[in-house]
Amino acid sequence: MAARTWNRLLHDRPARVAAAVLAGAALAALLAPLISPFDPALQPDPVALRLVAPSWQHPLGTDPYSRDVLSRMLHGARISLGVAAGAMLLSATLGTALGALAAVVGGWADAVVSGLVDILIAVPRLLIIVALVATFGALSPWWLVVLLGGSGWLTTARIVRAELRDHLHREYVLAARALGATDWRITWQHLLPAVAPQVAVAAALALAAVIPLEAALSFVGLGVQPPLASWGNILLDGADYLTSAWWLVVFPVAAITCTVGAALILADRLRAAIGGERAP
Amino acid sequence: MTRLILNRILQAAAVIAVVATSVFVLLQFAPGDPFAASLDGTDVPPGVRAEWRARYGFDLPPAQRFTRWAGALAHGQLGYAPSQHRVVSAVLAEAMPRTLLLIGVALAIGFALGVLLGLLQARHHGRWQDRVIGALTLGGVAMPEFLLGLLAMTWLGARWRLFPVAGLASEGDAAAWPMWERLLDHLWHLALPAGVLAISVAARVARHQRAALLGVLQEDFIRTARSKGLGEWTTLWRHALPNAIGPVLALLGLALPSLVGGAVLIEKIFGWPGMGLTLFDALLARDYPLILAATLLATIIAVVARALTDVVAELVAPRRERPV
Repeated sequence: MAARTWNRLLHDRPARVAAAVLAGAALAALLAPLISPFDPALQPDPVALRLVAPSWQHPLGTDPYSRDVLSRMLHGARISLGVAAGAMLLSATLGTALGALAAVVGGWADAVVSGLVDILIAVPRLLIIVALVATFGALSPWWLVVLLGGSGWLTTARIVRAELRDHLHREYVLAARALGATDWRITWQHLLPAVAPQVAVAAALALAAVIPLEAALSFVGLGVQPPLASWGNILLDGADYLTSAWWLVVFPVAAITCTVGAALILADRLRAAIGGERAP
Repeated sequence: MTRLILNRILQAAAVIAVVATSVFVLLQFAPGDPFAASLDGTDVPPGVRAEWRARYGFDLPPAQRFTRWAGALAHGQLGYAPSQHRVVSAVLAEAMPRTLLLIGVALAIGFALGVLLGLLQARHHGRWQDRVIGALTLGGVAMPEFLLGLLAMTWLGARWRLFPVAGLASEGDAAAWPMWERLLDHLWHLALPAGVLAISVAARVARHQRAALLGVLQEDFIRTARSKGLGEWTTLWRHALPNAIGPVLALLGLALPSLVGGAVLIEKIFGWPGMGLTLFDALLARDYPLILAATLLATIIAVVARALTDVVAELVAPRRERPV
């Protein structure tokens, strides 16, 4: 069943374009050390090369410290997309595990997980993370992954729980149970593969939510710390030069919007592919 | 209905209790107490330090401090904000109405605009109008509020100087202007931050509204309405919309926490002196009581607004099943 959904997605043009955009961004991030024209932290000449407009030498210009913006964007993609991908994987794993626990075990486990989801989903993530960072001081990118991933599993858990509760009463599960399969085996072998497309939708949405969060935290100086580059802190470097250096705003905004948009399109098309499967 | 309201009140109370407790725990980890900056100099006599700490209960064990703090919180007392030389509640009482105004205006305009765009898309489903609005709303959802805010600030504010770049109202002799001019001046300052937030809300609402309307348009009573000879707009407005608006409201409720987070950043970018700007000023000054109180209050606003949206969604469309 799930295989047909994946197949349908593979032949969907918007989904392919979106996947290509994300793959391109990931490739740029992975290859950053090879394709960056300059060292992203190097300040070659803070007087003469300060805030140089885009040119052949510096295709995306330079920042107030004379650093090359293209190199910072590429290396920033490593951090921004790396943190986002790590947080997405963490939240998808946590959400799937807790959602499956709630659905399959039921009873107290369901009460605890559902109660937790209902409480936490009403809390603005950004504010809680701001309060945490303000108290404990700046965080390494690894801690950002933990905080963003640890606060992003709610939707995934909710979706997985609802889907699994639906599947639990289907004939193939009853058949497996009649053959003597344990709950663990049924979940691992049958249920989780069946809801993989839904988990992928939730993961794409989690990615679309986390990229702006990291950018926002770095933009207010609480996320990725200089001299490390991220898309958010390139914006922070440009915030004082809005009238003179448009390139410090436009390129990070474009990068963030394109990746988030691609993730949203992918989630949309995947949802449509799942829906198509259900139609008679 | 009563059950839903009770359920939502209990849920909101639980969220607030959990967040308040976490805030207290965080306060314990924060380095130094509110008096650290002014009293911990080497030339201050130890007796004076001890006296001030004892007066505000900083010498008590954590459990007693917690009950004291929770009791004060229940009375609306949130402590002293050293960076502002005022009590926290006075700072927030000034800032909160401004934030509520910003979010309220953005929600009202954004929701109306979003419903309208969704209606237009459903009316012209599959044609160029649908595609153009669809691309715009996708862009509006994909671009986080604070980035749209930065772009608006760069061009409309800083470069073309069409809008003011900070504050509630013009400085200088503006206080002497006639009433209506002062009102216009306020609106002019509100226009960019509220407009940016409203665009974000509208994009989200339009996407949900379109999907909900297209779902409802498949149903039999719509075919009945059309075969009665009703016009397409009348069918949409009178029959489809009332049945499609409930789920949209519920989904808006789900998006509210992130809207409050976005508003905080928008205030920072546009220098709108509400709770967000207060929060960031407090961050710079390392004013922990104020940071945590502002976080707590913003969370409470998000939670209460979400509970209200759920109840309104139920009132508007009681029959539909909703994903909550």
